[in-house]
Amino acid sequence: MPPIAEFELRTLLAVMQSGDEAYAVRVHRELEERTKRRVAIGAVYVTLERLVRKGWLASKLGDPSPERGGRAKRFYAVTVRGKGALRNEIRAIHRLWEGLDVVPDA
Amino acid sequence: MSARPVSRWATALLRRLLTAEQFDEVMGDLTGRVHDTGGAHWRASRVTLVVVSSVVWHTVRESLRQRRARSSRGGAWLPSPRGVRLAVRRWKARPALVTSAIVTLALGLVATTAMFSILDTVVLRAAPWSEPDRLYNVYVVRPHWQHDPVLSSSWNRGGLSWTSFQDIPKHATTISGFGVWRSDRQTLGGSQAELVHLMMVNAGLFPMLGVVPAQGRFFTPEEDESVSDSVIISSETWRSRFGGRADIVGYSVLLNERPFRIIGVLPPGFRFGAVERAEFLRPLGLTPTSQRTEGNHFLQATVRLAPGVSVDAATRDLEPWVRGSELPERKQTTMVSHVEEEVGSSRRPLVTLLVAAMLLLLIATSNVGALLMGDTEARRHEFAVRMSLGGGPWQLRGQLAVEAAVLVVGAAIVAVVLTVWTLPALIRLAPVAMPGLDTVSVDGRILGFAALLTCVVAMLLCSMPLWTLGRVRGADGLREGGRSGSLSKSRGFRWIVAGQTALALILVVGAGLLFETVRQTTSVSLGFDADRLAIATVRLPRIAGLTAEERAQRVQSLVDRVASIPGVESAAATSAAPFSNNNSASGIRLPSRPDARPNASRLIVSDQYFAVMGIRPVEGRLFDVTDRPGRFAAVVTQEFERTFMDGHAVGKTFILNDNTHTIIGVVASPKHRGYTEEAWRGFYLLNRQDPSWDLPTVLVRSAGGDPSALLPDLRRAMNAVEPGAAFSFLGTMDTLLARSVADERFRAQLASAFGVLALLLATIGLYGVVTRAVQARTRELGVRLALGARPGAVAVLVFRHALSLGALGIVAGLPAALVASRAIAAFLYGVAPWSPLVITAATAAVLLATLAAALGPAVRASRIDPLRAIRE
Repeated sequence: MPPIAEFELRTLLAVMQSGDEAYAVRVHRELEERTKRRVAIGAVYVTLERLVRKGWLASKLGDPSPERGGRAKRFYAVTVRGKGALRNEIRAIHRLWEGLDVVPDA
Repeated sequence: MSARPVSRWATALLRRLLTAEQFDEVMGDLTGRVHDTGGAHWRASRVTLVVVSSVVWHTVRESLRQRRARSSRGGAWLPSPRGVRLAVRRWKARPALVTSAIVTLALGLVATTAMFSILDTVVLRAAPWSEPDRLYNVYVVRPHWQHDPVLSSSWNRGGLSWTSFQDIPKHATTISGFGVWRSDRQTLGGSQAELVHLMMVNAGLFPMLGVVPAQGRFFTPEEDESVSDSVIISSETWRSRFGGRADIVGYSVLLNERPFRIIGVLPPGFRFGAVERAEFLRPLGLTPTSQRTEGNHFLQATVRLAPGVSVDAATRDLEPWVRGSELPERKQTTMVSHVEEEVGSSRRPLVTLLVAAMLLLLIATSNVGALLMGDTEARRHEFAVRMSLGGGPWQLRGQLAVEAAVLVVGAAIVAVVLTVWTLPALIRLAPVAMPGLDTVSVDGRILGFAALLTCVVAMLLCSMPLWTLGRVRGADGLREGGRSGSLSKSRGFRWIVAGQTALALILVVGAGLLFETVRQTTSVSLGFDADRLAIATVRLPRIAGLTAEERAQRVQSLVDRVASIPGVESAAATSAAPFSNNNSASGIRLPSRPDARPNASRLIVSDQYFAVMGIRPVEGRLFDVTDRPGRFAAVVTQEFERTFMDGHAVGKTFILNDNTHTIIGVVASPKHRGYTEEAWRGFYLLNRQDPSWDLPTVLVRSAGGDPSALLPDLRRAMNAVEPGAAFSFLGTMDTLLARSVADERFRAQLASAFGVLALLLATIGLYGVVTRAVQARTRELGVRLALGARPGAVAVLVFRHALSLGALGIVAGLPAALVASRAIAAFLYGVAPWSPLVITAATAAVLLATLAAALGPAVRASRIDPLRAIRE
């Protein structure tokens, strides 16, 4: 299993948060709103593409619409392998947090 | 309704950069967002700009990241220890290639580094004073001297008088330092008397230069005026003559038979003004009062401009005090940058030679480049296999670059060792006339320059695989089985080889021109017989106060004594040997023009002089025993006769020092000051009649042997007659002749060395290309032979191929050579920059080299066995 970079982790989570509407623009918005940081749209496209190549995301085309110049939206979903990678990463982070008295304030 | 279209440039850019799928996705999203802006044009543009630039930026970054990741798989290609080890191991298996590459590169690097170190020492570090740019030499200009053949050499370089020396510091406001000096040679007393270089300096010279004594003190301003027994010695003299003894200050020395006390030692390497380093320095205060007159312009002067003062302002400020009150209307003042005057004449030849060395290095680099390209080509099969097994092209290129870098570093190490080793030999070859050359050494600056050169060469050679490997594609290499080459036909090789030939032609033409200059210069008729002449110039002790006859008698007894040395044919004395840089001029008065006082060169000779020198009279007679003291006879040159005597001199008179001299004979004008001298306008006096000399030169013609073998006997014989005689020169006429063209010969030798090396390298490069071409065409040539072509015809094919490359180089090189030879036109004499002889010879040399390069491959091609060539 290749290592997972931080921005890749965030993008995977943002795809899951976007649910059925997980196309690039929506994922970008989720990333910006939830992390409260500016995110470059180009980075999102590139990372989505890379995650597809790694097999952690799958993509499928929606219906074309005239507002998009007759082009279809590309929707993304986390694959089983992607979920496995996420799980591994989150477990690792949990283990790192274990017993540490730094309580998040949420 | 359809969406507002995204601008055309964004579409084009994205389509080029992205895959079709990605393009659709991004375009769709972008169009959607532009639609969401509600049609406001500026907002749509902003969104497009943000999205497109962000996508472009990140896509490029991502692809670079991927390439890096791919390349580093299976071993980094950057100069990792492993890559270097691999390269070293590979080169160990190819000793011949490595040796030729390293030798070639090292030759170029050594030539360039050595030239730079000479330039650096002689030119760049010639004036190690504080703020040397503000130092100016001050001269008196006498425009009316400009066209006088005797005085023209110093018309704008006149010295200052004692009065100027005293007036300038009192009145000038634009200078912050004032140094004056004059050089002299004096007899250093000891077990064997010796003439040494000496400088008389004022106290202001050292503070002006910012020089601090290594030991003791410098002179005080009082010593400028009054007699003192202080002397300062150079650091080199301290070490060589006094063994570097610690108690040197206070030590006593004899100069011109007078005791002096050493008060200080100069810092090492001190050299100022004169070409030859002064060993002893004395204060100006010893100048006799008789010389402290208005009319005696014997002092050299250098000033330091006050901060912010222009040369013009300083010249105007100093002018009245420089001109003085004696005939000021005939004098002007000029100020010349001290640094420029010290190095100006040697800078251009040295820079030119450095450029030549760099051309050589360029040839060497391209040669090694071609060698590496050929090596890469030979390894097509290896690369094809490695690529098929997953080796990335960048990995392979990286490995090639590391291999090249290893070669270059090896060559640099060899070059530095060779430079340290050969520089002293090169400097021994060099003429003494380049001041400071004896201090050339390899130091940090030189090493830095060598390192810089190495980096440039490495960059050139390491970037080579970037484009050579481009042609080796995995599949092709495997399919062809690595047998037939295509690179040998490639344009790259041809241009490299043609370029080398062109550069070599430039260097050969330059060398030829410089060589022809030396040949033309030295082939002029001297007007005397220079063969088998030994020369000794001495200063005789205790000569002051002697009468003319007594002096002549002492010189004559020297001449008589040396004439009796076995192996000596004849001997004579003169006041100055030709080519010894010793010229005296005298103002004479002619009965026909009583108010004019023209100048002519003067030699005082013994009556055997003309016989020894092989000079015969054109008219009249030469000196003989009938010329007695008390009368004044003169022999003049034809140029003298032509200028002053209206073409007929014998029997006429001129007045010198209030004495009427009768012209008894005329000789053809011999060369006296140098080969390139115009006809010498001089006259000869007989030493019995006018012995006003104290530095006689004894000339000896050997009976048949090498005159240099006579030198020890000459010294012994002269010391036996004159125990206190101090030699200022002891050598042969050949030495003097060679010394007078030493600069020109040195340039010609260096340039020829570069030319020969360049030709050799170009030949090797050509040989490689032709060999490879023959290998690649083995099958074709075999077929030709099988179909009945004669072996000679095949060889002609090869020669024709080589000649086409050589001709390409010559066509490219000739115009460049003509431009380059114009650049060295200033160093040429007796030969035009476009000399057909030299250019034809150089072209012929290049063509010959081309044929020589093709000889081996042509023979091999004619011996190809058709059966084997076709079967393979």
